[in-house]
Amino acid sequence: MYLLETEGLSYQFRKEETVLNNIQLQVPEGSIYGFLGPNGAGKTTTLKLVLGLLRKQKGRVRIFGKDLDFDRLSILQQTGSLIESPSLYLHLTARENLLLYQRIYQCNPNRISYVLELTGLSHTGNKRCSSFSLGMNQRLAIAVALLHNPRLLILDEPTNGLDPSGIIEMRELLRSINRNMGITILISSHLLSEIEKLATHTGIINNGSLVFQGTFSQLMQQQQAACSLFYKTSDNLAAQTFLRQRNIVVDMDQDTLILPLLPREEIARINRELMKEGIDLFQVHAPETSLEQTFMNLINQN
Amino acid sequence: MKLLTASLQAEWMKTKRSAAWWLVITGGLLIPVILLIGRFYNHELIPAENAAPIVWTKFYSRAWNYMGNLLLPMGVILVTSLVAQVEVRNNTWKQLHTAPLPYSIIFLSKLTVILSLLLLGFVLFNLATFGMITLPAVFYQDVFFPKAPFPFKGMLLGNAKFFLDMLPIVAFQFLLSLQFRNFLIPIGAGFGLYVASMIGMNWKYGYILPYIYSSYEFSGKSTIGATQFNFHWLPAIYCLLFTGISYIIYLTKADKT
Ligand SMILES: Nc1ncnc2c1ncn2[C@@H]1O[C@H](COP(=O)(O)OP(=O)(O)OP(=O)(O)O)[C@@H](O)[C@H]1O
Ligand SMILES: [Mg+2]
Repeated sequence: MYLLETEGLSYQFRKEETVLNNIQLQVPEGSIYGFLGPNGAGKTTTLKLVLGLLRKQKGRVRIFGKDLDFDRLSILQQTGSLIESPSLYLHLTARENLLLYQRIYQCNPNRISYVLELTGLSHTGNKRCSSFSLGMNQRLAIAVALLHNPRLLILDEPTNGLDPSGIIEMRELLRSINRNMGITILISSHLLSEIEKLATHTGIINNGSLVFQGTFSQLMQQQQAACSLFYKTSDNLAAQTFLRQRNIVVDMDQDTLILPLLPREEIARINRELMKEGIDLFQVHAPETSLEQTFMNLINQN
Repeated sequence: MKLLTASLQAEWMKTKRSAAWWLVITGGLLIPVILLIGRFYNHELIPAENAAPIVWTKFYSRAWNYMGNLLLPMGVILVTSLVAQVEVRNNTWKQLHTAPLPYSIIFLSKLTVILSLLLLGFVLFNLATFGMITLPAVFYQDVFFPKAPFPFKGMLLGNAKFFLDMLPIVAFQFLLSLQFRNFLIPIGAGFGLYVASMIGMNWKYGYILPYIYSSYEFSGKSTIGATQFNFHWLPAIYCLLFTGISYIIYLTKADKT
C-alpha cells in the first residue's frame, strides 16, 4: 500500500510534445522519496498534476488511498506543498502569511509560533517578506507547508537558493520531521548528491519517463548488473574463443575484451584458466561505479 | 459556511497594507475635501447656501457629478484589478489552489472583498460629503447648520444606483484580472472601455456600453432608448453575465498555477 501513487500519468502542454509519459510513482508511507531528474525532465509537471494544479489528461492519482478526482479537498487538507518557488504575500510579514493559512486550514494557532521556530524565523518580527532574503523566503515557504501538520509533504526543489549550511539545515529538518512525526516526504531535485544523503527511496525521471524507481541499494544492484569487466591480454582472439566456449558473452573493442561483471570467484577462476592456456593477462579492470555514474547513465540513455 | 468565513478572513488579510486601501480612502475623500476647500474659499456664499432648502441635494449632486463621471469608474477599475491580481503578483495561485478550499469559495470570497472595499469607499464618500456640507457651520459663527431636512431616502437611493452602475465594471475587471497575468491588460482594457463610454455618451445607443452607467445617471434619461424599461436593468444583467463568464473561465482553467 502506497501513500501516494500514480497510474499511467501522461501529459502534454502542446500536441506535438509529450512532457510526461506513463508515470507510475509509488511513494511508500513513511518514506522520504527523492524524485530525481535533470532540468526539464518533468518533475514539476508531475508534482503539479499530483496536487491538482494542472488538469489531468490521462491516468490516475491516488493519495491516502483516495482518488484525487473525487476527494481533492480531503487530500489537500492533509498535504503540505512547495512548488518551484516560495508562494508568499510579499507585503505581509512571516507571521501574517502564516496567520492567513492558519485561518484557511483552521488549525491550531499555536502552530504558527511552532513552525516559525522550527524554520528559524521567529526573530523576523515586523519585517515584511519583500525584504527577506531568498533563503528566508524558502524557509517560510516550508513553514507554510508544515503549518497544518500534514501527513504528506510535497516539495519541489526546496533547497533552491539556500547556502550550503542552509541546505544542511534543511536536510536535518526534513529528516527529523520524517522520523519524529512520521511525515512522508516527496522531494524533487536535480542533484543526486542532495537526495542521496536524505532519501530512503528514489524515482528517476528523464525526458518524461520514469527510468528507475526503488530504494538506493536496488539502484546500485541494477547498475552492478549492467557493469562490465575489461580485459587486456596477449592474445585477445584466443581468449575470446576460450571464454565463448564457456558460454560467457564477450565483446571486443580494439585491444580490449568486454565481459559482463561476474562474481569475484568466477573472475579468479577465469584468470587461472586463461593463464593455463598460455594467455597472459596485462590488465583486468572492473571500473567502480558510483551512484553518480549510475544516475548519469540512467539519464543519458536516450 | 465555515470555509467561506475562513476564506473571507484570509482574503481580507491579503489587502492589508495594500495600495487598494489607499485608493479607497483617497477616492472616498478627495472630491468632498476639494469641494470643502472651495466652500471655505468662497465663504461669503455659505450663509445663503446653507439657508437654501436645496442645500443637501445641491452639494450631493455636485459631489456625485465629479465622482460618477470620473473618479468612481477609474477607482473601481484600479481597485478591482489590484485585489484580484494579488495572487498573480505574488505568484501565490499555486499555494492557494493547494489549500483545501473549493474553487467556488475562493472565487466568491475574492469578489466579496472587492465589493466590500467598494462599499467602504461609498460610506467614506457619504460621510465626507456630509462633512463638507455641515463643517462650515462649525468654523464660522455666522453660519447656521443647513435648515432643510436631510434627504435620507433620496441619498440612499442615489448610492444604490451608483453602486449598481459600478457592478459591470467590477465584474468585467475581475474577469480580465483572472484571465490575464499581465497587470497592464485589465488596466488598459478598463481605461479603454471607460474612454469609449465617455465618447459614447452622445451616441443614440450609448446605454449598451457596460462602463457608461455612472455617467448615464446625469444624461437625464431613465429608460432604455424609447422603451419603457428602466436602464438600470442593464448593469444588473451585465454584472450577472460577466460574473458567470469569469466563473466558468476560472473553473475550467487547465493550469491553476
Ligand atoms: N507552462 C508550460 N507550457 C509549455 N511547456 C511547459 C510548461 N511548463 C513546462 N513545460 C515543459 O515541460 C517540460 C517539463 O518541465 P518541468 O518544469 O516539469 O521540468 P522539471 O523537471 O521540473 O525541470 P527543472 O529541474 O528545471 O525544474 C519542459 O520541457 C518544459 O519546457
Ligand atoms: Mg521544476
